[in-house]
Amino acid sequence: MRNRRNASLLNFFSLFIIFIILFSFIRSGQMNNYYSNILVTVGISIIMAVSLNITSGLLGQLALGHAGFMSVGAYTAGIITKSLPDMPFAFSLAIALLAGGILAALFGFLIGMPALRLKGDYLAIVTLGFGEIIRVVVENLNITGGAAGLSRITRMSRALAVDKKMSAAIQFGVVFWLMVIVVTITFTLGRSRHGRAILSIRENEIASEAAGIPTTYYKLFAFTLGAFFAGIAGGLYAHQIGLLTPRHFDFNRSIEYLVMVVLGGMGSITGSIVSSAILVSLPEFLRGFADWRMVIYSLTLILMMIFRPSGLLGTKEFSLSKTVHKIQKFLAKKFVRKERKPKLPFVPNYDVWEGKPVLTVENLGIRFGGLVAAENINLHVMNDEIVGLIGPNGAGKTTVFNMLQGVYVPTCGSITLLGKDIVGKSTYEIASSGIARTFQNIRLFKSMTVLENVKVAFHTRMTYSPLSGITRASRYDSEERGIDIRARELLHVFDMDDVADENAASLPYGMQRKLEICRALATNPKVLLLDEPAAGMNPTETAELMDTIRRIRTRFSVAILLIEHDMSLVMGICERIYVLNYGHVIAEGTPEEIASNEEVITAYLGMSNKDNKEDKAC
Amino acid sequence: MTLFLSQLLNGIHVGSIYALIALGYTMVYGIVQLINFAHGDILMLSAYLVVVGITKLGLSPALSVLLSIVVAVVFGVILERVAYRPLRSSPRISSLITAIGVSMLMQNVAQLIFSPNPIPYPITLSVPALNLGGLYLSFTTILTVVLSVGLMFLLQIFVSSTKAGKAMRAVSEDTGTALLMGIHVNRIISLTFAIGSGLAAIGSLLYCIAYPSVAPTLGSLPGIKAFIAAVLGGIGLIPGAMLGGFILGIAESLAKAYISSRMSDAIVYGILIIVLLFKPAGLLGTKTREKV
Amino acid sequence: MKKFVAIILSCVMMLSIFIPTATAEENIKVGFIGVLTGRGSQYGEGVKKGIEVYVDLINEQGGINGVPVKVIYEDSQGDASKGVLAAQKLIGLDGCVAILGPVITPVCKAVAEYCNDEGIPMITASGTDYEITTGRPSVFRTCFLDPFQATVIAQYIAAQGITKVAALYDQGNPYSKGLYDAFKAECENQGVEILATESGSGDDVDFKAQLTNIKNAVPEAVFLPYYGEAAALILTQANEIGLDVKYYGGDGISNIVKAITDKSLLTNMVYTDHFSNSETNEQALTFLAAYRKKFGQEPDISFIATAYDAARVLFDAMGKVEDPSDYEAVTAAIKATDLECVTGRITFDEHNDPIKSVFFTTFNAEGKQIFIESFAPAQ
Repeated sequence: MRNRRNASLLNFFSLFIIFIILFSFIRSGQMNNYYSNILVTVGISIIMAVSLNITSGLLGQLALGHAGFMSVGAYTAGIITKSLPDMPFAFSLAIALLAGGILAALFGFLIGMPALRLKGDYLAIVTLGFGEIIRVVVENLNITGGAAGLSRITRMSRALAVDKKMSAAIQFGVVFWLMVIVVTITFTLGRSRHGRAILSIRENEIASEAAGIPTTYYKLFAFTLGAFFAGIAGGLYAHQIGLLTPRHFDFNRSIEYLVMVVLGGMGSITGSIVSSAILVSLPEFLRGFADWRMVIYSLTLILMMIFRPSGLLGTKEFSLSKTVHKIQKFLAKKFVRKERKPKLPFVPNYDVWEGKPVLTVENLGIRFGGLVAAENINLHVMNDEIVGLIGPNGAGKTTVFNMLQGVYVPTCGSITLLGKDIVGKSTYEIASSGIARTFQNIRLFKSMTVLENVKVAFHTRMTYSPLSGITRASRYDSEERGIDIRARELLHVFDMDDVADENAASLPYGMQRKLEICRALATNPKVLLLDEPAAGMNPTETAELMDTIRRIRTRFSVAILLIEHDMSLVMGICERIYVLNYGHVIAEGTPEEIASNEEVITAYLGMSNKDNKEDKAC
Repeated sequence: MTLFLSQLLNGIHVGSIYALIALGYTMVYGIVQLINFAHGDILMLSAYLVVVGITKLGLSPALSVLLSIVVAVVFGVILERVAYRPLRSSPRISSLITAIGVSMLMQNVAQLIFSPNPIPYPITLSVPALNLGGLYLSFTTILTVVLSVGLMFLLQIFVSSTKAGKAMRAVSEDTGTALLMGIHVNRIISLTFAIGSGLAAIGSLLYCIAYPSVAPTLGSLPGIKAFIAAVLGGIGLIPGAMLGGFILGIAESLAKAYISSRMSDAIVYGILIIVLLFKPAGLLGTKTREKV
Repeated sequence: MKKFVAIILSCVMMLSIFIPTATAEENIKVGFIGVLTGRGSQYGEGVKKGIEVYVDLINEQGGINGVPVKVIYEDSQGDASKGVLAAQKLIGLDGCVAILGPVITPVCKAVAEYCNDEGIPMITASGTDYEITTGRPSVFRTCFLDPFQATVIAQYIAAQGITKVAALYDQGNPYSKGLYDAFKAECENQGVEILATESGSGDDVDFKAQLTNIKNAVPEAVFLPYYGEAAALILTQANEIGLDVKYYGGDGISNIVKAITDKSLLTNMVYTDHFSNSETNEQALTFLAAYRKKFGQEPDISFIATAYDAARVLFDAMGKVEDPSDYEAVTAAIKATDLECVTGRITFDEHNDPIKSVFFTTFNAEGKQIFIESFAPAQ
C-alpha cells in the first residue's frame, strides 16, 4: 500500500515538475517561441487525437468528420471572445472554450443520433458527409465570416498577461493542463464501468447488449464526449492562431487526426499522445527536406501500417497510465481517508418462484417478410428446470432465443418472464430483467481480459455515474471492489481463477465457452439460455459441461433452456424437451418420450411426406 | 424546359463519369472490404501517362491511352500485392490508413516529378456539339454515357456468367470458403484490382476529355465523389455503382442549378445521409442481418 | 521491448529538433514563407522563383552594401498555423531579419499578425486581401488589392457600354469572394446589372450547371474572379454549351494560357494583371531576361513579377539603413520607397499598399498576352 502511494505521488509530482520546467523556460524567454508554439500545437493535437480515440478507438466506430466538431468549437469560441472585448480575456476565454465544447457536443449528439444507427463504412461516410456539410454551412454564414473566415481573434500568447513572455507561458499552461485533464478523464472513464461498457460495444455489440449494456446510450455518450473535447481543442486552436478559415477544417484535417489515432493505436490513449507529438514535431524536424517531406510522411505511414498495423501501442497503455490511475485512486483515498467497504452488487430475490413457471411463451410467432420463421410456439420453463430445445437445422431454435432476448420482435404471441411481459422491450432491458444467454458463435470481448468480460455483465448492477468514475469517488471505489469480488467468485466456480487476467482471445475453445456462460451468470438471471454450448466439444469436454450445467443450476438457482444437437447431452441432463421443426413445436416431453416419438424421428431423418411428394413431382 | 433538360444532361454526363469510377471502387470494396482511397489517384496516374506518352514519347493518342491502361492495370495489381495483401488479416482501419498513405504518396511523387502546375490534357474531341433546338448535346457526353453504361453491362455479364466472375462473387461472399473450394483467391483479388484499375484508366480518359486539366490532385475530388456514389447505390454492387453515380451527378447538377450553387455540396451530402438513414445499405443494398 | 524502443526513438526524434542550427555566417538572412506543397503550390513556387531571380541578381552585384543575401525558403503547406511556425523558426532560429511572403491570404494574415507583434518587416507579393496590412505598420505588399482591381474592372465594363452581366465565383476562396463582393458593390454605382450569380466551390471541375443558368440569363459579359486553371475549364465548358460572351477576370487569370487547350477561346477574356510581358520598362526587361535565363521559360504567373519587386523593395530598403536587423529602420525605409519596378512605380500609401496601376490584358488566338490599357488608381 505504501509503495503504491509513493508511486502515485512521484508521478503526479513529475507531471508538475515537467510543467514547471517548461513554464519557466518559456517565461524567461530561454525557450524560443518557435518551440513553445510547437508545444502548444502538440498539446492541442493531443486533445484532438484523444477525443477522436474515444469515438474511433474506444467505441470502434470510424469517424471521418471529426474536424467538423473542432470547427464548431473554434468558431463558437472565436465569435464569443470577439463579442466580449471588454471582459478580461481570461474570463471570456474560459466562457468561450466551454461554450465551444458544449456546442460541439450538441452537434455530436445531433449527428450521432442518426449516424450511429449505421454500421462501419456507412457510418464513416455519414460522418464525412456531416463534416463537409458543417464546412459548407460555415463558408456561407455571415457570422463566421464566410470564406474569408474570422480574423483578429485575441490570441492567448498576447492577451493572457501584460508581459509577452508571461502570456506565452500561460498559454502553454492553459493548453498543458487542459490536455492533462482531457487525458485523465479519458483514462479514468475508460477504466470505469462506463468505459468497459463502451469497449464491450466495440468488441461485440450484440453480446454487449445481451449483457445488459444500453448500447445506443453509450454510443451516443462516447460520440458526444469525443465531440465535446474536439470543440475545446478547436477553441484553443482559434485563440492560438487568431484566425479561422472554413477550409482549414476539411476532410483532410479529419484524416490527419485519424492517422494520429491509428498510428498510435486505436484505443490506446498513450499511443495517441505519442503519435500526436511525433506527427506534429516531425514535419518541423523535416523542414530541411521540404519537397520530400510529404513523400517521407506517406511512406512512413504505409510502412507503419504494413509492419505494425495495430499502431505504436496497439490497444495497450503505457504503464504511466496505470500510475495516473493510481494517482486518482490515491487522491480519492486521501480525501476519503478510510477504505470503503466493497459494495456487493444487488442480487434479486428469486425465492418466491419456487415451483412456478419462470418463463412462459404463448402462441409466439414471427415472420420475416413472407417467410414464417416460427409459429404457434408454446413453451414454459419451471423454476430450476433444465429444458432442452432441439430440432433439425433451420427449425427456428435460435430464432426463438432471439425473440426471448428481444433481438427479434415477434409478430404475435407473448413472452412472460417472472410474471412480466417482455415483448417489445429492448435487449438490454430484458437482459437486466432476469434472462441471459450464450451464443451459437462465441461472442466474447476478445481484447478484454477474462475478468473484464465478466465485469461488463455487472454493469446494470452498479450505479455510479461517469463523473463518479472520473473522480474515483467513494461510490466508484466500493462498487468496483464489490464486483471484483463477485466476478472472481464466478470465475472460481468455473475453475478459471488463474486465467483471470489473460485476454479472452487467448483462451482455448472450451474455456471460451465456459467464459461465455460465466459472463451470462453475472447478470443474475433466473433463466439462462444456452445456444449449442457443446458445439465443437469432444465427449470428455461434453461430460464436463453436463456436470457444470448441473452445478450452475443448483448453485445459482437458475432455470436453463438449452439448444443442442448433441443428443448425449440433451438426453443426459434435460428434464424436459421441446422439439421444433419448420418453426413449429412438434413434440414435448421427457427424454424417453421424445426418443420414441415418430414425428421427431422423421423430422431428424428428413423423410417427411412433403419431401416424398416433391421427389415424385420430378 | 430546355433549361431543365440541359441541366439534366449535364447531370447525366457528370454522373456517368462518377459511375465509371465508382465501378472500380465498388469492385474492390466488394471483394476485400477496402475503401481504396488511392483509386482516384489512378485516374491521375493514367492522365499523366497519356501526357508523357504524347508529349515526351511522341506516341499517338490511341497508343498513349493504351499505355496508360496497361500501366494502370499493372500498378493496381502491384499496389494490391505490396500494400494491401500484407494487411488482409489486420483490422480494416489499417488497410484504410494504408490506402490513404498510398494516395498521399502518389500525389506527392507526382508533384515532385511533374510540378504542381496544372497542364492541359493533350487529347480533345473536336467534334462540335449537336444543337437540338437550344439544347447542346456534346459528343463527349454521348461517348461518356455510352461507354460507361456499356462497360457496366459487360462487367455485370462477366461477373455473373464467366468462371472468373463467379469466382469473384464467391470470394466476396466468403473468402475462407472460396479458398477451400479451390479458388485461387489471391489471383482473383489481383484480377479484381486489375479490372478496377483498368476502369479507372478509361474513366480518366473520359474525365480528362471533359475537364482537360491535369494536376497531381486530379484524382481527389472524383475519388471522393465516386466513393459516395458507390455507397449511395450500395457498395459492393455493380448496378449500385451505376445507379449511385447517375443519381449523384444529376442531384449535383440540379442542386447547383435550381437550389443554390453555393450550398450544392451540402445538399448532395444531405441527400446521401437521408438515403442512408432510410436504406442503411444503400439504394440497392440489402441489409445483411448479422447472424445472432 | 519493441514498444519501449519505439518510444525511446520517438523521444529522441522529438528532442533532436532542439539541436541548434549552424551559427550565422557573414550574410543577411531573409525568410520566405509560401505554399510549396499541396493546393496552390504553383503560386508558392512562382513567388519563390521570382525572389530567386532577384536574389541571384543582387548577389552578382555584391549583395546589400557588399554583404551577400541569403533567403531561406520555408513551406507553409497552405496552413496558417504551419506558416506561423515557419515564421517563428526563420526569425527565432535561423536569424532572419525580415519575411518575404506568405503567398495565400489566410497564411498572410496569420504571419502578418506575428510579424506585427514583433515589428518584423514583411512584404507579401500576392496577399491581395485588404485586411492583411490593416493596423500593421511593418507589413507591406507589392500587389494591388482585391477591392481595387474588382472596382476597376466594374468601371472598365461600364466604360465599354455593358449593362448586363453575370458572375461566377468560388465561394470557398476568400480571394474570389472578395473580388465578387467589391465588384458587386461597384456595379451598383455604375448602373451595371448583375443578372445571375453562380458559384462553384473549391476543387470543382464541372461548371456546366452554373454556366447553363448563366446562359439562360443572357448576359453581355461574365465576371470570372477565378484562378487560371479553373477559368480554363470554365471557358472550355462554356464553349461546349454554346455560351458566347466576353469574360472579365482578376489577376488570378494570368496562368490560364498554360492550362487551356483551345487557345482561341482566350480572345474573349480580359483580365487585370500586375504587369505585361510586353512592358518595355527597363526593370521588366532585366527581369524577363534573368528569368528566361534561369528557368528557360516565360514567367506565367503574374506574382512572379510582384515577388521580384517585393525582394527588390526589401533589399533596397535594407541597403539604405545602417543595420539591416533594425526592424524599425527597415520598416521606415520600406515605407519611404519610391522605386521604378517591374510592375510599375512603387510607393506606399498609409495602408502600406502600393500605389500602382492595373494592366488590362487580353490574348490573341495563339494565347499570347496583349496589353490593352492601364488604369491608375485615383490619386
